[in-house]
Amino acid sequence: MTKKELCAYTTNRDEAIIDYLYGDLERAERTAFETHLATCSVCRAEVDALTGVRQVLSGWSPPEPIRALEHGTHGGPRLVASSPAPASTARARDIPVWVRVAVAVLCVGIGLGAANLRVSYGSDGLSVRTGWLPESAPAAAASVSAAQPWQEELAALEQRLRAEMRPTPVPAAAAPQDASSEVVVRQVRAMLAQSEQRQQRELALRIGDVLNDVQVQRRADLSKIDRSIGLIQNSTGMEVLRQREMLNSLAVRVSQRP
Amino acid sequence: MTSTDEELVARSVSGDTESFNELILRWERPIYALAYRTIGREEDARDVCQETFLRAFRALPGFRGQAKFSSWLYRIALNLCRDWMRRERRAPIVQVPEDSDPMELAAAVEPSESIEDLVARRDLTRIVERVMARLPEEQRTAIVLKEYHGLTFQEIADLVGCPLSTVKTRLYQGLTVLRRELEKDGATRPPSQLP
Repeated sequence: MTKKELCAYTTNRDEAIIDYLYGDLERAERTAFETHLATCSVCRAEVDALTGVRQVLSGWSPPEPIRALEHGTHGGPRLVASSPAPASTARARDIPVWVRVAVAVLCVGIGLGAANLRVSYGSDGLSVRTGWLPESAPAAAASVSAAQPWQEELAALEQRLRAEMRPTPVPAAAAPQDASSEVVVRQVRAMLAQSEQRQQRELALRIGDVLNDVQVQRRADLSKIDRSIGLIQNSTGMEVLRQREMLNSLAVRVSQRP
Repeated sequence: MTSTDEELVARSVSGDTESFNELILRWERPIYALAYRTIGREEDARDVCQETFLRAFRALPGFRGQAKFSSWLYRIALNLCRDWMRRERRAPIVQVPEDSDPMELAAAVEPSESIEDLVARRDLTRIVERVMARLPEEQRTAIVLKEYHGLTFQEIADLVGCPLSTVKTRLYQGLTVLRRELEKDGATRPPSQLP
């Protein structure tokens, strides 16, 4: 004989239990079922047990959907391609932004240095010149000869200074290239140093937070252990006292025997 | 003012991708939870979640609004879960780590939760995952949709394509099996009363 056979509920009992559990009964149906529950221990036990199951189920939470979808710049997730990204793309995505910026700046700097880019603004307007283009020496000479005497002297001084500054023969574009590269490298190094400092500060802060948490947890655990030890000591002390009293009473009885 | 799903769908259909991203933001977590509880594997649940939104995006122009957007999305996700289970030809796998990592435990602890409570909660989660994995697919789906997504019996019936009474029967049978299995594990009491 099953439990169901012991129950005298006339309509569909299983559905009624489910409807009752999930609050899906009409007022009249609910009243009727509650009246039945008051008299039927089988159904009452089952409803209690299934309510307990539901309470247990409520404690099951899935893990967070980390990287299920890619989050966009506005805080919202965005669809990402279902096919796996190429390894190089994935690797590039893993590189921090600041490193990518630094590398980009470095590349641009080296490129500009190699090109020996010169931007000047004179009477004839804006001019952009690169090291790949040869300097127009005859034109420069012609313009010098046509200029005023002080300008000739100035040009001579400039040439002398240039000659002094270049004691060894080097390619014309090498010096500016090295200089500009050095500047860019210095900037990148400075950025790297700043970033490292920032990361170190953040790391220090996080370590501090973790240590604080550990400390708080440790204190809580110690106080809990302390309380437990206190309780154990109390109960042990009580037990010792009780046994001592028993021994005393036994000793008294033994001593009173003839 | 927050837009309704239907408004966001209408804007997405007319080419506003931000609206679709808003829908993803709104439904990503429930869909992932549904997939995880149905198939029991984090990686695959993520894939199912992503694929659900991709399919929804592709099929959006054909969405006529006969059903709620969420029901439509649930249906896509459930179909994908079913495909996954057929492909794998097995019951959902429960990923239970052999040993609890103390660092992981410490990271997951709630401010008001002691380590003991956390361990008890983890144990309970493992037990629930294990017993849920033993349920037949239909019963598990009914329980997941009702317990965790709050769908009505009629919505579940429409989603899985069966009569209303069948949904209730599956739910009853599923809960009864869970009760028996949980009693074996001694976990039928509510979490707050667990040791």
